[in-house]
Amino acid sequence: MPPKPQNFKNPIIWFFVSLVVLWAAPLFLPTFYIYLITEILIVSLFAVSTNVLLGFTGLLSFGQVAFFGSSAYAVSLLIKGTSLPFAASFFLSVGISTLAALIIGLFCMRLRGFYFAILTLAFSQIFFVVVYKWTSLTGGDDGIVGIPKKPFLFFDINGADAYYHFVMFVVMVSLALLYLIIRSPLGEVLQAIRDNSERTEFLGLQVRNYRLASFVIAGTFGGVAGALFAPFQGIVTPELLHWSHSAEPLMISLLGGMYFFFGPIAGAVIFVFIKEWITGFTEYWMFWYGLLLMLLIMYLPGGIMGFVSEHLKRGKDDSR
Amino acid sequence: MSLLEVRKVSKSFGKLQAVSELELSIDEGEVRCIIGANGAGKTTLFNLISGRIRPDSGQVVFAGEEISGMRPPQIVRKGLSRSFQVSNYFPNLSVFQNVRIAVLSRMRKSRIFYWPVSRLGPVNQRVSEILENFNLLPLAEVIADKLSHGDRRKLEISLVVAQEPRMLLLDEPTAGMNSTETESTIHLIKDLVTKLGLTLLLTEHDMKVVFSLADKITFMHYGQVVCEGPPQEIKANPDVKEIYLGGEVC
Repeated sequence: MPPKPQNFKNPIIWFFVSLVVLWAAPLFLPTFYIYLITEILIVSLFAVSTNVLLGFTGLLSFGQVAFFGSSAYAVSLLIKGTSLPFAASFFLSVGISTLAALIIGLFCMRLRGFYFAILTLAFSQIFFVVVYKWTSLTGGDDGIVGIPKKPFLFFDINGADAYYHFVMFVVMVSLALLYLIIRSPLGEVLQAIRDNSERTEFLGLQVRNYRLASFVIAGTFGGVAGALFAPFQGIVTPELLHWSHSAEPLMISLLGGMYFFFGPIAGAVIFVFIKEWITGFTEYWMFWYGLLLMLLIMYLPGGIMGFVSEHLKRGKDDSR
Repeated sequence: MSLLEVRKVSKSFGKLQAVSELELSIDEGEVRCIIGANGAGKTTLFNLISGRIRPDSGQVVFAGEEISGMRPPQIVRKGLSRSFQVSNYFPNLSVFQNVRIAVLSRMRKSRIFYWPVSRLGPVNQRVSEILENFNLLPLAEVIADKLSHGDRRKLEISLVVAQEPRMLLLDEPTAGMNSTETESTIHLIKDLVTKLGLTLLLTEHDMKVVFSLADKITFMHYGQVVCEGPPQEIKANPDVKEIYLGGEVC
Protein backbone atom coordinates (compact mmCIF):
# COMPACT_ATOMS: atom_id res chain seq x y z
CA MET A 1 0.00 0.00 0.00
CA PRO A 2 2.10 2.93 -1.19
CA PRO A 3 0.79 6.07 0.48
CA LYS A 4 -1.36 8.33 -1.65
CA PRO A 5 -0.16 7.82 -5.20
CA GLN A 6 -2.53 10.60 -6.25
CA ASN A 7 -0.16 12.93 -4.43
CA PHE A 8 1.64 13.51 -7.64
CA LYS A 9 -1.32 14.39 -9.83
CA ASN A 10 -2.38 17.48 -7.90
CA PRO A 11 0.94 19.28 -8.26
CA ILE A 12 0.86 18.64 -12.00
CA ILE A 13 -2.57 20.27 -12.24
CA TRP A 14 -1.40 23.13 -10.02
CA PHE A 15 1.66 23.55 -12.18
CA PHE A 16 -0.37 24.06 -15.37
CA VAL A 17 -2.94 26.30 -13.68
CA SER A 18 -0.17 28.56 -12.32
CA LEU A 19 1.52 28.54 -15.70
CA VAL A 20 -1.66 29.77 -17.44
CA VAL A 21 -2.43 32.39 -14.78
CA LEU A 22 1.14 33.69 -14.75
CA TRP A 23 1.25 33.69 -18.55
CA ALA A 24 -1.88 35.80 -18.71
CA ALA A 25 -0.82 38.22 -15.95
CA PRO A 26 0.46 40.96 -18.32
CA LEU A 27 -3.02 41.11 -19.87
CA PHE A 28 -4.57 42.49 -16.70
CA LEU A 29 -1.68 43.87 -14.61
CA PRO A 30 0.23 47.12 -15.16
CA THR A 31 3.94 46.93 -15.99
CA PHE A 32 4.96 47.88 -12.45
CA TYR A 33 3.43 44.66 -11.10
CA ILE A 34 4.88 42.59 -13.91
CA TYR A 35 8.26 43.91 -12.89
CA LEU A 36 7.51 43.00 -9.28
CA ILE A 37 6.37 39.48 -10.15
CA THR A 38 9.51 38.95 -12.24
CA GLU A 39 11.54 39.79 -9.15
CA ILE A 40 9.39 37.52 -6.98
CA LEU A 41 9.94 34.64 -9.40
CA ILE A 42 13.71 35.06 -9.40
CA VAL A 43 13.88 35.48 -5.61
CA SER A 44 11.58 32.44 -5.20
CA LEU A 45 13.88 30.24 -7.23
CA PHE A 46 16.92 31.41 -5.27
CA ALA A 47 15.11 30.81 -1.96
CA VAL A 48 13.70 27.38 -2.94
CA SER A 49 17.15 26.25 -4.13
CA THR A 50 18.70 27.42 -0.84
CA ASN A 51 15.94 25.66 1.05
CA VAL A 52 16.92 22.33 -0.54
CA LEU A 53 19.90 22.68 1.76
CA LEU A 54 18.30 24.35 4.75
CA GLY A 55 14.87 22.75 5.06
CA PHE A 56 15.40 19.44 3.30
CA THR A 57 19.01 18.50 4.09
CA GLY A 58 19.43 20.38 7.35
CA LEU A 59 22.49 22.32 6.17
CA LEU A 60 22.85 25.99 7.00
CA SER A 61 24.87 27.65 4.24
CA PHE A 62 25.81 31.31 4.23
CA GLY A 63 27.48 30.93 0.86
CA GLN A 64 24.64 30.52 -1.61
CA VAL A 65 25.19 34.03 -2.88
CA ALA A 66 28.49 32.83 -4.35
CA PHE A 67 26.58 30.72 -6.89
CA PHE A 68 23.90 33.30 -7.56
CA GLY A 69 26.52 36.02 -7.95
CA SER A 70 29.09 34.08 -9.95
CA SER A 71 26.44 33.11 -12.46
CA ALA A 72 25.11 36.69 -12.62
CA TYR A 73 28.63 38.00 -13.30
CA ALA A 74 29.45 35.22 -15.75
CA VAL A 75 26.33 35.81 -17.82
CA SER A 76 26.94 39.58 -17.81
CA LEU A 77 30.55 39.18 -18.97
CA LEU A 78 29.58 36.68 -21.64
CA ILE A 79 26.75 38.85 -22.95
CA LYS A 80 28.84 41.99 -23.04
CA GLY A 81 32.25 40.58 -23.87
CA THR A 82 31.55 37.84 -26.39
CA SER A 83 29.37 37.25 -29.43
CA LEU A 84 27.94 34.03 -27.97
CA PRO A 85 24.17 33.69 -28.27
CA PHE A 86 22.36 34.38 -24.99
CA ALA A 87 21.22 30.78 -24.57
CA ALA A 88 24.84 29.59 -24.66
CA SER A 89 25.92 32.29 -22.21
CA PHE A 90 23.02 31.38 -19.95
CA PHE A 91 23.79 27.66 -19.76
CA LEU A 92 27.53 28.26 -19.54
CA SER A 93 26.98 30.55 -16.54
CA VAL A 94 24.78 27.99 -14.82
CA GLY A 95 27.48 25.40 -15.53
CA ILE A 96 30.02 27.65 -13.83
CA SER A 97 27.82 27.78 -10.72
CA THR A 98 27.48 24.00 -10.75
CA LEU A 99 31.23 23.59 -10.98
CA ALA A 100 31.80 26.16 -8.24
CA ALA A 101 29.29 24.36 -6.00
CA LEU A 102 31.00 21.04 -6.64
CA ILE A 103 34.46 22.36 -5.79
CA ILE A 104 33.37 24.38 -2.73
CA GLY A 105 31.11 21.51 -1.66
CA LEU A 106 34.00 19.04 -1.69
CA PHE A 107 35.79 21.21 0.86
CA CYS A 108 32.78 22.12 2.98
CA MET A 109 31.43 18.56 3.28
CA ARG A 110 34.33 17.73 5.57
CA LEU A 111 32.74 19.90 8.22
CA ARG A 112 29.42 19.89 9.99
CA GLY A 113 27.07 22.31 11.70
CA PHE A 114 28.55 25.62 12.74
CA TYR A 115 31.90 25.01 11.02
CA PHE A 116 30.20 24.18 7.77
CA ALA A 117 28.21 27.43 7.91
CA ILE A 118 31.34 29.49 8.59
CA LEU A 119 33.32 27.82 5.80
CA THR A 120 30.57 28.52 3.24
CA LEU A 121 30.58 32.13 4.42
CA ALA A 122 34.36 32.29 3.99
CA PHE A 123 34.14 30.95 0.44
CA SER A 124 31.46 33.42 -0.53
CA GLN A 125 33.63 36.26 0.84
CA ILE A 126 36.48 35.02 -1.36
CA PHE A 127 34.17 35.36 -4.37
CA PHE A 128 33.20 38.84 -3.19
CA VAL A 129 36.81 39.98 -2.83
CA VAL A 130 37.80 38.57 -6.22
CA VAL A 131 34.94 40.40 -7.92
CA TYR A 132 35.59 43.57 -5.97
CA LYS A 133 39.32 43.68 -6.64
CA TRP A 134 39.59 42.32 -10.17
CA THR A 135 38.61 45.67 -11.63
CA SER A 136 39.89 45.00 -15.16
CA LEU A 137 37.45 42.13 -15.58
CA THR A 138 34.53 42.90 -13.30
CA GLY A 139 34.56 46.70 -13.16
CA GLY A 140 35.29 46.49 -9.41
CA ASP A 141 33.09 48.67 -7.28
CA ASP A 142 31.22 50.04 -10.32
CA GLY A 143 30.15 46.59 -11.44
CA ILE A 144 28.94 45.88 -14.95
CA VAL A 145 26.28 48.16 -16.32
CA GLY A 146 24.02 48.15 -19.35
CA ILE A 147 23.51 44.39 -19.67
CA PRO A 148 21.15 43.96 -22.63
CA LYS A 149 18.38 41.37 -22.94
CA LYS A 150 19.55 39.50 -26.04
CA PRO A 151 17.19 37.07 -27.81
CA PHE A 152 17.02 33.59 -26.27
CA LEU A 153 17.16 31.10 -29.17
CA PHE A 154 14.39 32.44 -31.48
CA PHE A 155 12.56 34.38 -28.80
CA ASP A 156 12.83 38.10 -28.42
CA ILE A 157 12.90 38.73 -24.68
CA ASN A 158 13.55 42.45 -24.77
CA GLY A 159 10.87 44.45 -22.92
CA ALA A 160 9.24 43.99 -19.53
CA ASP A 161 6.50 41.55 -20.59
CA ALA A 162 8.71 39.46 -22.87
CA TYR A 163 11.42 39.12 -20.24
CA TYR A 164 8.79 38.32 -17.65
CA HIS A 165 7.54 35.45 -19.80
CA PHE A 166 11.06 34.17 -20.23
CA VAL A 167 11.75 34.31 -16.47
CA MET A 168 8.41 32.72 -15.70
CA PHE A 169 9.07 29.81 -18.03
CA VAL A 170 12.59 29.15 -16.72
CA VAL A 171 11.56 29.51 -13.07
CA MET A 172 8.51 27.26 -13.43
CA VAL A 173 10.54 24.53 -15.15
CA SER A 174 13.27 24.86 -12.49
CA LEU A 175 10.74 24.68 -9.66
CA ALA A 176 9.13 21.62 -11.25
CA LEU A 177 12.53 19.93 -11.45
CA LEU A 178 13.33 20.82 -7.83
CA TYR A 179 9.93 19.52 -6.75
CA LEU A 180 10.59 16.25 -8.54
CA ILE A 181 13.99 15.96 -6.86
CA ILE A 182 12.50 16.54 -3.40
CA ARG A 183 9.84 13.89 -4.05
CA SER A 184 12.36 11.41 -5.50
CA PRO A 185 14.28 8.75 -3.56
CA LEU A 186 17.22 11.15 -3.41
CA GLY A 187 14.99 13.84 -1.86
CA GLU A 188 13.70 11.38 0.71
CA VAL A 189 17.24 10.39 1.65
CA LEU A 190 18.12 14.09 2.08
CA GLN A 191 15.23 14.47 4.50
CA ALA A 192 16.40 11.39 6.37
CA ILE A 193 19.86 12.97 6.67
CA ARG A 194 18.27 16.15 7.99
CA ASP A 195 16.41 14.12 10.62
CA ASN A 196 19.19 11.76 11.66
CA SER A 197 22.42 11.60 9.70
CA GLU A 198 23.97 8.89 11.87
CA ARG A 199 21.10 6.50 11.33
CA THR A 200 21.26 7.18 7.60
CA GLU A 201 24.87 6.00 7.64
CA PHE A 202 23.88 2.86 9.53
CA LEU A 203 21.39 2.11 6.77
CA GLY A 204 24.33 1.90 4.38
CA LEU A 205 24.18 5.37 2.81
CA GLN A 206 27.22 7.63 2.45
CA VAL A 207 25.87 10.81 3.98
CA ARG A 208 28.68 12.98 2.67
CA ASN A 209 27.93 12.16 -0.98
CA TYR A 210 24.25 12.94 -0.59
CA ARG A 211 25.00 16.21 1.16
CA LEU A 212 27.33 17.10 -1.69
CA ALA A 213 24.61 16.28 -4.23
CA SER A 214 22.25 18.57 -2.34
CA PHE A 215 24.87 21.33 -2.31
CA VAL A 216 25.43 21.04 -6.06
CA ILE A 217 21.68 21.04 -6.78
CA ALA A 218 21.22 24.16 -4.64
CA GLY A 219 24.21 25.86 -6.28
CA THR A 220 23.03 25.02 -9.79
CA PHE A 221 19.53 26.41 -9.35
CA GLY A 222 20.90 29.38 -7.42
CA GLY A 223 22.98 29.91 -10.55
CA VAL A 224 19.87 29.79 -12.75
CA ALA A 225 18.34 32.52 -10.58
CA GLY A 226 21.53 34.58 -10.87
CA ALA A 227 21.66 34.24 -14.67
CA LEU A 228 18.06 35.47 -14.86
CA PHE A 229 18.73 38.33 -12.47
CA ALA A 230 21.60 40.08 -14.31
CA PRO A 231 19.75 40.95 -17.56
CA PHE A 232 16.63 41.72 -15.52
CA GLN A 233 18.40 44.42 -13.51
CA GLY A 234 20.70 45.40 -16.37
CA ILE A 235 23.46 45.85 -13.81
CA VAL A 236 25.54 43.69 -11.48
CA THR A 237 27.60 45.06 -8.60
CA PRO A 238 29.81 43.40 -5.99
CA GLU A 239 27.14 43.87 -3.30
CA LEU A 240 25.33 41.03 -5.01
CA LEU A 241 28.07 38.73 -3.74
CA HIS A 242 28.36 40.12 -0.24
CA TRP A 243 27.76 37.43 2.35
CA SER A 244 24.98 39.43 3.99
CA HIS A 245 23.02 38.90 0.77
CA SER A 246 23.14 35.14 1.54
CA ALA A 247 20.94 35.75 4.56
CA GLU A 248 18.10 36.83 2.27
CA PRO A 249 17.04 33.39 0.96
CA LEU A 250 17.50 31.96 4.45
CA MET A 251 15.18 34.56 5.98
CA ILE A 252 12.69 34.10 3.16
CA SER A 253 12.66 30.35 3.80
CA LEU A 254 12.15 30.86 7.52
CA LEU A 255 9.38 33.35 6.87
CA GLY A 256 7.57 31.09 4.43
CA GLY A 257 8.20 27.79 6.23
CA MET A 258 11.38 25.86 5.53
CA TYR A 259 9.86 22.40 5.92
CA PHE A 260 7.53 23.04 2.99
CA PHE A 261 8.56 23.05 -0.64
CA PHE A 262 6.33 26.03 -1.36
CA GLY A 263 7.30 27.82 1.87
CA PRO A 264 10.09 29.93 0.34
CA ILE A 265 7.77 30.97 -2.51
CA ALA A 266 5.21 32.31 -0.01
CA GLY A 267 8.14 33.94 1.79
CA ALA A 268 9.43 35.52 -1.42
CA VAL A 269 6.03 37.03 -2.27
CA ILE A 270 5.82 38.67 1.14
CA PHE A 271 9.48 39.67 1.17
CA VAL A 272 9.34 41.48 -2.18
CA PHE A 273 6.02 43.18 -1.45
CA ILE A 274 7.10 44.34 2.00
CA LYS A 275 10.39 45.60 0.61
CA GLU A 276 8.52 47.51 -2.10
CA TRP A 277 5.92 48.82 0.31
CA ILE A 278 8.22 49.87 3.17
CA THR A 279 10.85 51.42 0.89
CA GLY A 280 8.02 53.74 -0.21
CA PHE A 281 8.29 55.66 3.04
CA THR A 282 11.61 54.73 4.65
CA GLU A 283 14.97 53.56 3.43
CA TYR A 284 15.36 51.51 6.62
CA TRP A 285 13.08 48.81 5.33
CA MET A 286 15.44 46.08 6.60
CA PHE A 287 14.75 47.23 10.15
CA TRP A 288 11.01 46.75 9.77
CA TYR A 289 11.46 43.51 7.89
CA GLY A 290 13.76 42.27 10.65
CA LEU A 291 11.18 43.16 13.25
CA LEU A 292 8.44 41.37 11.36
CA LEU A 293 10.64 38.32 10.91
CA MET A 294 11.43 38.27 14.61
CA LEU A 295 7.75 38.33 15.52
CA LEU A 296 6.94 35.63 12.97
CA ILE A 297 9.68 33.31 14.24
CA MET A 298 8.53 33.81 17.81
CA TYR A 299 4.84 33.30 17.15
CA LEU A 300 4.81 31.23 13.93
CA PRO A 301 7.82 28.94 14.21
CA GLY A 302 6.65 26.87 11.23
CA GLY A 303 6.48 29.95 9.00
CA ILE A 304 3.49 30.96 6.93
CA MET A 305 3.05 27.52 5.37
CA GLY A 306 3.36 25.86 8.78
CA PHE A 307 0.59 28.10 10.08
CA VAL A 308 -1.64 27.46 7.07
CA SER A 309 -1.16 23.69 7.10
CA GLU A 310 -1.81 23.53 10.85
CA HIS A 311 -5.10 25.39 10.37
CA LEU A 312 -6.12 23.27 7.39
CA LYS A 313 -5.51 20.14 9.46
CA ARG A 314 -7.51 21.52 12.36
CA GLY A 315 -10.33 22.48 9.99
CA LYS A 316 -10.39 18.94 8.63
CA ASP A 317 -10.43 17.41 12.12
CA ASP A 318 -13.25 19.72 13.19
CA SER A 319 -15.39 18.85 10.20
CA ARG A 320 -15.20 15.14 10.97
CA MET B 1 32.80 -21.63 10.27
CA SER B 2 32.82 -18.37 12.15
CA LEU B 3 31.17 -15.42 10.43
CA LEU B 4 32.33 -12.78 12.88
CA GLU B 5 35.59 -12.77 14.73
CA VAL B 6 36.69 -10.19 17.24
CA ARG B 7 40.41 -10.54 17.83
CA LYS B 8 42.02 -8.98 20.91
CA VAL B 9 40.06 -5.76 20.54
CA SER B 10 40.64 -2.98 23.08
CA LYS B 11 39.07 0.42 23.53
CA SER B 12 39.51 2.96 26.26
CA PHE B 13 37.90 6.31 26.89
CA GLY B 14 40.44 8.35 28.83
CA LYS B 15 41.31 6.27 31.85
CA LEU B 16 38.33 3.98 31.47
CA GLN B 17 39.16 0.69 29.79
CA ALA B 18 35.76 -0.06 28.23
CA VAL B 19 36.81 -3.16 26.29
CA SER B 20 40.04 -4.99 26.96
CA GLU B 21 41.67 -7.54 24.61
CA LEU B 22 38.30 -9.04 23.91
CA GLU B 23 37.98 -12.20 21.85
CA LEU B 24 34.72 -13.37 20.35
CA SER B 25 33.86 -15.77 17.57
CA ILE B 26 30.36 -16.26 16.20
CA ASP B 27 29.36 -19.00 13.78
CA GLU B 28 27.12 -18.53 10.78
CA GLY B 29 23.47 -19.06 11.78
CA GLU B 30 24.19 -18.79 15.48
CA VAL B 31 22.15 -16.74 17.95
CA ARG B 32 24.53 -15.32 20.50
CA CYS B 33 23.53 -13.28 23.47
CA ILE B 34 25.88 -11.07 25.41
CA ILE B 35 25.00 -10.46 29.02
CA GLY B 36 26.63 -8.39 31.69
CA ALA B 37 25.91 -5.57 34.09
CA ASN B 38 25.55 -1.97 32.96
CA GLY B 39 29.00 -0.68 32.06
CA ALA B 40 30.35 -4.13 31.22
CA GLY B 41 31.21 -2.87 27.72
CA LYS B 42 28.40 -4.48 25.72
CA THR B 43 27.35 -1.37 23.83
CA THR B 44 30.99 -0.35 23.30
CA LEU B 45 31.58 -3.75 21.76
CA PHE B 46 28.61 -3.20 19.43
CA ASN B 47 29.93 0.23 18.50
CA LEU B 48 33.34 -1.29 17.74
CA ILE B 49 31.91 -4.03 15.55
CA SER B 50 29.53 -1.75 13.64
CA GLY B 51 32.12 0.96 12.94
CA ARG B 52 30.60 3.64 15.13
CA ILE B 53 33.93 3.87 16.94
CA ARG B 54 37.37 2.52 16.07
CA PRO B 55 39.28 0.10 18.28
CA ASP B 56 42.57 1.23 19.82
CA SER B 57 43.99 -2.16 18.94
CA GLY B 58 42.87 -5.54 17.66
CA GLN B 59 40.83 -6.60 14.66
CA VAL B 60 37.22 -7.22 13.74
CA VAL B 61 36.82 -9.70 10.91
CA PHE B 62 33.51 -10.31 9.16
CA ALA B 63 33.13 -13.08 6.57
CA GLY B 64 36.89 -13.35 6.29
CA GLU B 65 37.43 -9.62 5.71
CA GLU B 66 38.78 -7.11 8.19
CA ILE B 67 36.15 -4.46 8.86
CA SER B 68 37.74 -2.58 11.76
CA GLY B 69 38.51 0.90 10.42
CA MET B 70 35.70 0.81 7.84
CA ARG B 71 32.95 3.43 7.96
CA PRO B 72 29.43 2.29 8.98
CA PRO B 73 27.94 2.46 5.44
CA GLN B 74 30.66 0.14 4.12
CA ILE B 75 30.13 -2.33 6.95
CA VAL B 76 26.37 -2.31 6.31
CA ARG B 77 27.02 -3.04 2.63
CA LYS B 78 29.01 -6.12 3.68
CA GLY B 79 25.85 -7.45 5.30
CA LEU B 80 26.29 -6.51 8.94
CA SER B 81 23.55 -4.26 10.35
CA ARG B 82 22.74 -3.05 13.83
CA SER B 83 19.94 -1.62 15.88
CA PHE B 84 20.32 0.87 18.72
CA GLN B 85 19.47 0.73 22.39
CA VAL B 86 17.80 4.13 22.26
CA SER B 87 15.43 4.08 19.29
CA ASN B 88 17.24 5.81 16.47
CA TYR B 89 14.95 6.67 13.57
CA PHE B 90 13.81 9.61 11.43
CA PRO B 91 11.43 11.52 13.70
CA ASN B 92 9.82 13.84 11.12
CA LEU B 93 9.19 11.17 8.49
CA SER B 94 6.26 8.77 8.50
CA VAL B 95 6.70 5.14 9.53
CA PHE B 96 6.37 4.20 5.87
CA GLN B 97 9.07 6.67 4.83
CA ASN B 98 11.36 5.48 7.63
CA VAL B 99 11.34 1.92 6.38
CA ARG B 100 11.46 3.12 2.77
CA ILE B 101 14.86 4.75 3.41
CA ALA B 102 16.22 1.36 4.46
CA VAL B 103 14.61 -0.39 1.48
CA LEU B 104 15.87 2.24 -0.98
CA SER B 105 19.36 1.67 0.36
CA ARG B 106 19.01 -2.10 0.16
CA MET B 107 17.59 -2.08 -3.37
CA ARG B 108 20.13 0.54 -4.42
CA LYS B 109 17.51 2.98 -5.59
CA SER B 110 18.49 5.80 -3.26
CA ARG B 111 20.26 7.85 -5.92
CA ILE B 112 17.31 8.18 -8.28
CA PHE B 113 16.43 11.87 -8.52
CA TYR B 114 14.21 11.98 -11.60
CA TRP B 115 11.27 9.85 -10.51
CA PRO B 116 8.85 10.24 -7.61
CA VAL B 117 9.58 7.76 -4.84
CA SER B 118 5.85 7.12 -4.40
CA ARG B 119 5.83 5.62 -7.92
CA LEU B 120 8.53 3.02 -7.30
CA GLY B 121 6.28 -0.05 -7.17
CA PRO B 122 8.68 -2.77 -5.97
CA VAL B 123 10.18 -0.51 -3.30
CA ASN B 124 6.79 0.47 -1.87
CA GLN B 125 5.58 -3.10 -1.99
CA ARG B 126 8.60 -4.31 -0.06
CA VAL B 127 8.05 -1.59 2.55
CA SER B 128 4.44 -2.70 2.96
CA GLU B 129 5.54 -6.32 3.43
CA ILE B 130 8.00 -5.39 6.15
CA LEU B 131 5.46 -3.20 7.93
CA GLU B 132 2.94 -6.01 7.77
CA ASN B 133 5.42 -8.43 9.34
CA PHE B 134 5.94 -6.03 12.21
CA ASN B 135 2.24 -5.18 12.57
CA LEU B 136 3.08 -1.59 11.74
CA LEU B 137 1.00 -1.31 8.57
CA PRO B 138 -1.94 0.46 10.28
CA LEU B 139 0.55 3.06 11.49
CA ALA B 140 2.22 3.55 8.08
CA GLU B 141 1.13 7.18 7.75
CA VAL B 142 1.95 8.17 11.32
CA ILE B 143 4.91 10.49 11.85
CA ALA B 144 7.52 8.37 13.65
CA ASP B 145 7.89 10.81 16.52
CA LYS B 146 4.25 10.22 17.48
CA LEU B 147 4.67 6.46 17.98
CA SER B 148 4.41 4.74 21.35
CA HIS B 149 7.61 3.41 22.89
CA GLY B 150 6.87 -0.18 21.91
CA ASP B 151 6.12 0.76 18.32
CA ARG B 152 9.33 2.77 18.13
CA ARG B 153 11.26 -0.32 19.18
CA LYS B 154 9.48 -2.30 16.47
CA LEU B 155 10.30 0.39 13.92
CA GLU B 156 13.91 0.31 15.08
CA ILE B 157 14.17 -3.43 14.42
CA SER B 158 12.23 -3.22 11.15
CA LEU B 159 14.79 -0.70 9.84
CA VAL B 160 17.53 -3.24 10.39
CA VAL B 161 15.58 -6.14 8.97
CA ALA B 162 14.73 -4.08 5.87
CA GLN B 163 18.39 -4.18 4.97
CA GLU B 164 18.28 -7.98 4.72
CA PRO B 165 21.63 -8.38 6.44
CA ARG B 166 23.61 -11.58 6.83
CA MET B 167 24.23 -10.75 10.43
CA LEU B 168 22.21 -8.65 12.81
CA LEU B 169 23.37 -6.84 15.93
CA LEU B 170 20.48 -6.03 18.23
CA ASP B 171 21.23 -3.81 21.20
CA GLU B 172 18.60 -4.56 23.86
CA PRO B 173 15.76 -5.02 21.39
CA THR B 174 13.08 -5.30 24.07
CA ALA B 175 14.29 -2.46 26.32
CA GLY B 176 11.31 -0.69 27.90
CA MET B 177 8.70 -2.94 26.29
CA ASN B 178 5.81 -4.39 28.26
CA SER B 179 5.50 -8.16 28.55
CA THR B 180 3.11 -8.58 25.59
CA GLU B 181 5.32 -6.46 23.36
CA THR B 182 8.40 -8.36 24.55
CA GLU B 183 6.79 -11.67 23.74
CA SER B 184 5.72 -10.65 20.26
CA THR B 185 9.21 -9.25 19.61
CA ILE B 186 10.86 -12.50 20.70
CA HIS B 187 8.51 -14.35 18.43
CA LEU B 188 9.39 -12.02 15.59
CA ILE B 189 13.12 -12.37 16.11
CA LYS B 190 12.87 -16.17 16.28
CA ASP B 191 10.89 -16.11 13.09
CA LEU B 192 13.46 -13.97 11.34
CA VAL B 193 16.30 -16.19 12.38
CA THR B 194 14.65 -19.33 11.09
CA LYS B 195 13.14 -17.81 7.94
CA LEU B 196 16.13 -15.82 6.80
CA GLY B 197 18.86 -17.95 8.36
CA LEU B 198 20.29 -14.87 10.07
CA THR B 199 23.22 -14.82 12.38
CA LEU B 200 22.30 -12.83 15.43
CA LEU B 201 24.27 -11.11 18.13
CA LEU B 202 22.25 -9.39 20.80
CA THR B 203 22.61 -7.82 24.19
CA GLU B 204 19.73 -8.11 26.59
CA HIS B 205 18.93 -7.58 30.23
CA ASP B 206 15.73 -9.59 30.23
CA MET B 207 16.84 -13.13 31.11
CA LYS B 208 13.62 -14.58 29.77
CA VAL B 209 14.51 -13.22 26.35
CA VAL B 210 18.10 -14.38 26.65
CA PHE B 211 17.29 -17.97 27.57
CA SER B 212 14.52 -18.32 25.03
CA LEU B 213 16.60 -17.04 22.10
CA ALA B 214 20.26 -17.77 22.57
CA ASP B 215 22.18 -20.78 21.28
CA LYS B 216 25.14 -19.56 23.23
CA ILE B 217 25.71 -16.91 25.85
CA THR B 218 28.77 -14.76 26.44
CA PHE B 219 29.14 -13.17 29.83
CA MET B 220 31.05 -9.87 29.93
CA HIS B 221 32.44 -8.11 32.97
CA TYR B 222 34.60 -4.96 32.98
CA GLY B 223 35.25 -5.13 29.25
CA GLN B 224 36.34 -8.75 29.22
CA VAL B 225 34.75 -12.11 28.49
CA VAL B 226 34.40 -14.03 31.74
CA CYS B 227 32.88 -17.14 30.25
CA GLU B 228 30.76 -18.40 27.37
CA GLY B 229 28.72 -21.45 26.59
CA PRO B 230 25.20 -22.84 26.11
CA PRO B 231 22.45 -21.25 28.26
CA GLN B 232 22.27 -24.11 30.78
CA GLU B 233 26.00 -24.01 31.37
CA ILE B 234 26.00 -20.23 31.88
CA LYS B 235 23.05 -20.46 34.21
CA ALA B 236 24.98 -22.91 36.37
CA ASN B 237 28.28 -21.02 36.27
CA PRO B 238 29.14 -19.84 39.81
CA ASP B 239 30.91 -16.65 38.58
CA VAL B 240 27.89 -15.57 36.58
CA LYS B 241 25.61 -16.37 39.46
CA GLU B 242 27.66 -14.32 41.84
CA ILE B 243 28.35 -11.29 39.66
CA TYR B 244 25.25 -10.97 37.59
CA LEU B 245 22.29 -13.25 37.92
CA GLY B 246 22.04 -13.13 41.70
CA GLY B 247 18.84 -14.77 42.76
CA GLU B 248 17.05 -13.84 39.55
CA VAL B 249 16.97 -17.22 37.80
CA CYS B 250 18.47 -19.54 40.31
